[in-house]
Amino acid sequence: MRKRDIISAIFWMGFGAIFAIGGLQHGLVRQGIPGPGSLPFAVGLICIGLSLVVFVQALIKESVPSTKFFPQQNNLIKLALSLVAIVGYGLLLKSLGFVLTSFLFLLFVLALICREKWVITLSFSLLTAVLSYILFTALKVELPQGILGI
Amino acid sequence: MDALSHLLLSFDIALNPINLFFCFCGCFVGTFVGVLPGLGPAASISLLLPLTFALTPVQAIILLSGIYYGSMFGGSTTSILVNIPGEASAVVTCLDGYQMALKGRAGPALGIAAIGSFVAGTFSVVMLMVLGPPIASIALKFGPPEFVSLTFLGLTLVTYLASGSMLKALIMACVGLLLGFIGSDIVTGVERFTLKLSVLTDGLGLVPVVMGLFGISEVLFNLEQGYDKAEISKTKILNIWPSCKDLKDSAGAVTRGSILGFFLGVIPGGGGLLASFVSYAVEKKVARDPETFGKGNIRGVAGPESANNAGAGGAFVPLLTLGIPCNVIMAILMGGLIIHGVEPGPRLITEHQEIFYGVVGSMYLGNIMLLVINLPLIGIWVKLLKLRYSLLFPLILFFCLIGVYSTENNVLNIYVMMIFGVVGYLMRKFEYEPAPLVLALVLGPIMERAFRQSLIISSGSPLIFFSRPLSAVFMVAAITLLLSPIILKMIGKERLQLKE
Repeated sequence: MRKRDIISAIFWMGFGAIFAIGGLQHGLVRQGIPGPGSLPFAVGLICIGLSLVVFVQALIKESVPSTKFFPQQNNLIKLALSLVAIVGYGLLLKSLGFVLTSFLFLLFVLALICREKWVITLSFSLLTAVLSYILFTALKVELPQGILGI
Repeated sequence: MDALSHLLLSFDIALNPINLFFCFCGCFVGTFVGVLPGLGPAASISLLLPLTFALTPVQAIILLSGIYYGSMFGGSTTSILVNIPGEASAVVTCLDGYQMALKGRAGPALGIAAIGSFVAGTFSVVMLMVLGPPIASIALKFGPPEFVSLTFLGLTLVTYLASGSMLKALIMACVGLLLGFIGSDIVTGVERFTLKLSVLTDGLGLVPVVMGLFGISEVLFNLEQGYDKAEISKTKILNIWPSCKDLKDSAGAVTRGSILGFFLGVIPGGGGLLASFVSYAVEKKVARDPETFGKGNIRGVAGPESANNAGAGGAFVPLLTLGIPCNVIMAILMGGLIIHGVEPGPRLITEHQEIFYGVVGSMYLGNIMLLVINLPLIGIWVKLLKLRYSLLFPLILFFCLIGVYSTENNVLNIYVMMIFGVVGYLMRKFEYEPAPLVLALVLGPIMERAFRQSLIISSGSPLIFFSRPLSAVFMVAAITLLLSPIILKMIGKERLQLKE
């Protein structure tokens, strides 16, 4: 865990520092009372302090053999593809509309990540997209219409 | 109003056909979520939160709380039949429940889990109704300093009871508070840390954060680990009702589990998980035959299952009376109520009676519904376990996407959720718990407002938190808890030196 603690501690120190500096810029005191930057500054400093303790502890601690960070490296591609699918959904939702984007999203995930049979992929994607459209419309959720106009 | 009129009021609200329908939906979805490994109650409540925006606050909280206690009820099924806990607090049930199933006693194990959950659930609702109003009336006397110190104590308890490193949990609480500062300042209106993004002006949305940390990260983790189909125990479930001997053996365990579970549920950071573990330890300790635990002892199922359900009911006490969520699910419920324009706190019982008594009444009825949903329909729930994860996870992703979009009809929320999904996945790898972060995120803005109000009252002197008796008690307790690991370490070293 030594290396992982060092990396994460440095990250949280940086995170705390951003808020502490931001807090300073927003002002710590206004007309004798705490300003909008006071608490972000204080909590940012505490975050840095705590991360520093984790960092020092990790440095002192003897290195023990830890588990692999990515034990199943072959599956990382699935992870990356699912993130691509999420970004794609966000990019296409407004222009293509809910039904078409949802259908394409499910098609992409089922075909490329799950590697399901085409019959299952097509029918599952179509059914889910249409049924969820009916459900969300009934629940009065506003959905983007896009090029299909529904 | 006396207790009877409160009870009548709660049933009057809960028996309204629409409320009854949402109570049933919540219990049904909760059981579904509880049975299904890989979809916890936190993710599913946040998933369904946007769908409740079209409902009234009472209907919304009845539905969402139903999911919570329903998941506690259903979580035992997979533990007993497959040795895979449907949700975290059913982990302990695996120990004896699965062993009972292997010995051909899956039916009585499922039966006693359901009966214990029903008894404990009902007990916790009675306690919520009895304790709620007096606690709220005491809390009404709280000023901003008391609220700050109580919240501080709550957050400290959450980090103290974290299953991993307390230091890391404290960092997570700080991160949650810092994320809570994003958005317009409540006192001056100045925009802070928004990166000039419109989606951040009103602060970081709770729904994208929770869906990312719990829903997306879970999917990413399962995808990386590779998903296998669960092996269902081949045992036929013949008789679901436990024998008289089973009931006699379990009576003590159910009683102890109910009482213990309720009080552990009330403590911030406690809840179902801690309650079930403590109950198992207690049962083993008081048993005349501790060696039979882990080999299919019915008390090892009855105690923890009662405790986690009582804990789920207990968790509503601080939320509905003090406005302090003591676990992630309560934090999401609190976020949901705030979105609906209802601020949980001491005034809730007087100003929004229908919400408090609606929850109470729906929990009474919900526990009966759960008994009906779980026992006779056990066959259906078992079949659900055959649902392939390769079909389930695209659905989880899809509902997360549409759920998070519909909160504000803003595509940027999808990206916020994705970022937190990756953060949650990495946090799991680096062994950081997301619970303190979410709690601090919800409590952060409220705590900041009270903190600054307190300092305005005291003209900038922080001593106000120690000069008022109740606030001082909370503060001293929190500081003692924070320092306790260091103190204990020092005492340990001294003892070691003395021995040497």
